[in-house]
Amino acid sequence: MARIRRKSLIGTLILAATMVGALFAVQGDPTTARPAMPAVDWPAMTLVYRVEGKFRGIDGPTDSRVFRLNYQGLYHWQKEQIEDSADPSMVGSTDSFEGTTNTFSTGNSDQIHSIDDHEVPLAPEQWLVPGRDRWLVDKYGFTKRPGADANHVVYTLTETLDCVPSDPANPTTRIPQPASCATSPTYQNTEEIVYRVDLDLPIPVEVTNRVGTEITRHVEVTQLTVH
Amino acid sequence: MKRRIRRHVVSALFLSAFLLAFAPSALASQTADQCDATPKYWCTHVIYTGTTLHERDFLGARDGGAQKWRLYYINDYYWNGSGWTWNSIYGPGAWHTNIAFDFWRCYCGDEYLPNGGRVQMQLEYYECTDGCYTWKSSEMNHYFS
Repeated sequence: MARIRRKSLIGTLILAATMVGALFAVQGDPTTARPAMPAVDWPAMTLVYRVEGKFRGIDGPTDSRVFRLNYQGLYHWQKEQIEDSADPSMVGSTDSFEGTTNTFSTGNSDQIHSIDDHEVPLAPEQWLVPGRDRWLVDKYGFTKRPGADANHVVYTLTETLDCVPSDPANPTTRIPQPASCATSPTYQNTEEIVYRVDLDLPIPVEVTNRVGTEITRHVEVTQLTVH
Repeated sequence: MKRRIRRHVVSALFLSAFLLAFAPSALASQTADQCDATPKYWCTHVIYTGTTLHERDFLGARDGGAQKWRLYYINDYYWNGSGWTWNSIYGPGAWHTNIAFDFWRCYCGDEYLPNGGRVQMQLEYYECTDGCYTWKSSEMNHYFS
């Protein structure tokens, strides 16, 4: 009887250890656990958007790029660059995502490349992720306020970031810094996103990034057609 | 006299070794910064001598609000006289989780790109909210000849 009880105790211990191990395998390491798939998505739509930014350095000129996005879902979209004020050879560049494969080509080159290792969807842009607005306040610390009319809502994030001194002995490792870093150990970084909220799932239509008072990037959706 | 000649030869050898070791980097040029004007601003440039590419550098923050980042690709092209021809690709790289402002160099080795080079650089970011997704930085293009 005691032997049976000992065997049963050992069996229980082995089972418990296996279950704890399995639990750690599933939840212990977020980088190896199977990722969750995004829960919501936008309907098929076409967007044209202009991105103006300091693409040639924080103290450089402002350049402009225009893209046309044909969006059928987070797993199925195509993007084409239709304008580039600084590098016209980029016009005609394409970028698409289909299932797990990202395919891209660059203007003025007939080379097409594919990278097929995407276990989660590749969004067309960071700001173009369906449902991201629901996380801006709680996860990222944005504040929310009404927009210019009842159809728009504005989210704003202001962060104070540390300036990083460059290594004078190695100028090639210089970190790009705002001009204000010459007189202050920190600088202010601001992001503002305007969402259209008269649709089933809000869509961002304007994004503005500032360093101090200077605009480093401004994105504006100039055409939006929901199919 | 012989001693003096030997001294000159030894000095010349040392000088040659010094020049061989440091002259290429001293003569190297750097392309103008190309930057990703996202919330965590960062830039890239490449270092080259003539039409030989040496280094591909990323400077600045790479988190952009993301949990992970990786090198998506570095594409090297050479000019074939009428268009850009692909020479080599590096990436995708391993995922990294550091979020500090810092400097990262791809030690991809020297590359001779006849008639001039074009280097495309792009990073990818990974983030989870109620689901996980990735996005790419803007593509940075560097030209030199």
